[in-house]
Amino acid sequence: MDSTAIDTWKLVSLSALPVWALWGLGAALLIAAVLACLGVAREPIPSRRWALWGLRILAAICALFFLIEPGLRRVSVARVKNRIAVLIDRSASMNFPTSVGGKSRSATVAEAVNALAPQMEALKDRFSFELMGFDSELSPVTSKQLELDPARGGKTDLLASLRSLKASEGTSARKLSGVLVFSDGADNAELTQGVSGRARQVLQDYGVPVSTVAVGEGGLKDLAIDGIKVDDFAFVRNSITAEVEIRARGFSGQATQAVLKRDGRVVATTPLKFGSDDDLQVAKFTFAPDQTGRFVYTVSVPVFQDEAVTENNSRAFTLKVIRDRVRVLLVAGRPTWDERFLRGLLKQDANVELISFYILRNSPDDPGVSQDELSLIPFPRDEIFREKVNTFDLLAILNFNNDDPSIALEMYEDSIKQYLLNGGALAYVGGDRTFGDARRPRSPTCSR
Amino acid sequence: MLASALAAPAVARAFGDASRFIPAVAQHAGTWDTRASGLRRLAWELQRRTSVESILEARAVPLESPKLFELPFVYLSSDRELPAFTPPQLENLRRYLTFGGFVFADANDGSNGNGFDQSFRKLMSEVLPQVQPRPLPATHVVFKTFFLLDTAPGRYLTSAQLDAWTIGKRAAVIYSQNDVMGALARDESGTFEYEVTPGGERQREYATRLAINIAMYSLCLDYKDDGVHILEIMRRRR
Repeated sequence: MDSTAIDTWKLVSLSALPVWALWGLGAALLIAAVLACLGVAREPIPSRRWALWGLRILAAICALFFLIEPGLRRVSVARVKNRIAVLIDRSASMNFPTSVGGKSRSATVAEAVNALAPQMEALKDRFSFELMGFDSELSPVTSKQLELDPARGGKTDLLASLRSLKASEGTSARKLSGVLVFSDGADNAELTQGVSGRARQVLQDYGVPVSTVAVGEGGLKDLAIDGIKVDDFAFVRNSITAEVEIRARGFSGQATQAVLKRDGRVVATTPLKFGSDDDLQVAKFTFAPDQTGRFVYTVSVPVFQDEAVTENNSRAFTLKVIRDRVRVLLVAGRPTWDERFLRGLLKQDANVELISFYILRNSPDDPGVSQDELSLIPFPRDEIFREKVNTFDLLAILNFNNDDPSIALEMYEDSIKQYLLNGGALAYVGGDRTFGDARRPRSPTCSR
Repeated sequence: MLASALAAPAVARAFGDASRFIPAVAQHAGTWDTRASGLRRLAWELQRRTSVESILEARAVPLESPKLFELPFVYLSSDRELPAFTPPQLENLRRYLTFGGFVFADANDGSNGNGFDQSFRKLMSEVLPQVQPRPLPATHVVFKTFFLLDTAPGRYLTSAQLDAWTIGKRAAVIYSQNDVMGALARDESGTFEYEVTPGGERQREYATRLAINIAMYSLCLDYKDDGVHILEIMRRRR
């Protein structure tokens, strides 16, 4: 308790009677004393008369004493200094320079606090100044720490800090008289949209004046990846979307693009255009990982000249890609009961994603109708065996006639071979079209 | 020795007929074999128009025989009311259908509410009492397993639709009241046995296509409902 105590004495009544009763009794005593004195007025001997008056008045005074029970009260008065809280923003944005090439905002505040120290010293008999840093919590801080320790807070929540401050009042000795806030104003909690609505009401109800000192020049240019929202894992060959928050300060009207890369290879890009000098854009990247494993993805935006901070132009995240279902390609040279069974077996397995093709018509077959009256589609050999073969876990080729040039797979041997070398699986099942003549089949990879 | 040296080596085939399409016909106590030539024609058309290899002769199989389970496609018909089936026949047929067998039922008499139609529906209520027949919608895969069809004619046009008894997602029994095989049946001279009414030869062609589609359905089930086919089929149906 920073106070000097002063003792004073005070005359008080110790009677339990209420004030009005005391007044009434006092008035009654006075009337009685007057009547008693009037009764003695006929006393012929003056000395005796005065003596009787004196005794009656003394009696009235004694009665009054007994009535009001006078006492002396000792009052100890302590003088308490006004408590001023100096809140200093310790969020990471305070590491930004106040101007391009200048010292950091934290260092600037430290300078200001040091400059104010003599004035605070001069006011110390009436005011106590408490230096506290705030980001998402309050903690004591010194100007030395402001100069030497970089601000690391991940969040600026001024209202929460003010509430904590108010809650620390406790006894009257800790009562808050005022708050002085040093901040760059980049609140990302309740004051993100400014002092309005509920935030304004909270401040009005605070009951203590809050003064603010803005730190940093408003004209800083900076493009920053503020945050990335993405799931921790994705299923292979299933789309996933990463949402990237990009904040642009001083880039009104600027168009650019955000790039998502994996292992240095561009996965996706998103165009951006900023509409104001303090703009927040959300870039969405939708992509389908094509391999299982754990991968590091990097989102980046270009570094422009005169940007205050360049380290925040890119950010990485880790994505674990896991297998969803086993993806099987089933190609049957012709429909048979065996293939019907196999297709049914694979299709009913919830862990299998089946793509199947039956060759329902070979070159010599004549349906006798135009193509438009058939439900047949061309066998997409190129698409499957050149472009998408690596998306399958298993190729099952059943009773396939490679002698038919319209469906033969020989030209895809290299692709299938590479697929196998990359870990793919191949099941090549014979039948009358492949092994029926007991000759060596002209099948992909068999001759290799 | 010389004879054996001169003899051309025969091609050895390790694969029997089991993988081929065999048009089996169910034997019962009534007239069960009136459409053997139609089945032969179906097998021939199937082999000519599609990649399916067929046995070109209908094969009869008693309904109570365990050999029923070796024949995944069975044709059941009569040109009159079906006789009552024996309990072993009912039980065997029930097991056959439940375990994946397929029956194509065909009213050779083109009946509706009487004759074969009535008796067959009664039979199915005994074989699969918990399955109700449903007409197959025009979007059912049987109408696009090979040919794109929007009708289901036979020798007659008694009913515009096919009915089916479905187990799970599979139509285990497909039933036509229009005598589909009657449209394909030929006599020994190779002439078609029956006139097709009312559509004549064009209707016969569509009946042939329907029979091929039904055979394809028994082999491929809902293959043509796979997503890779849908867009192309929708485009052609426009």
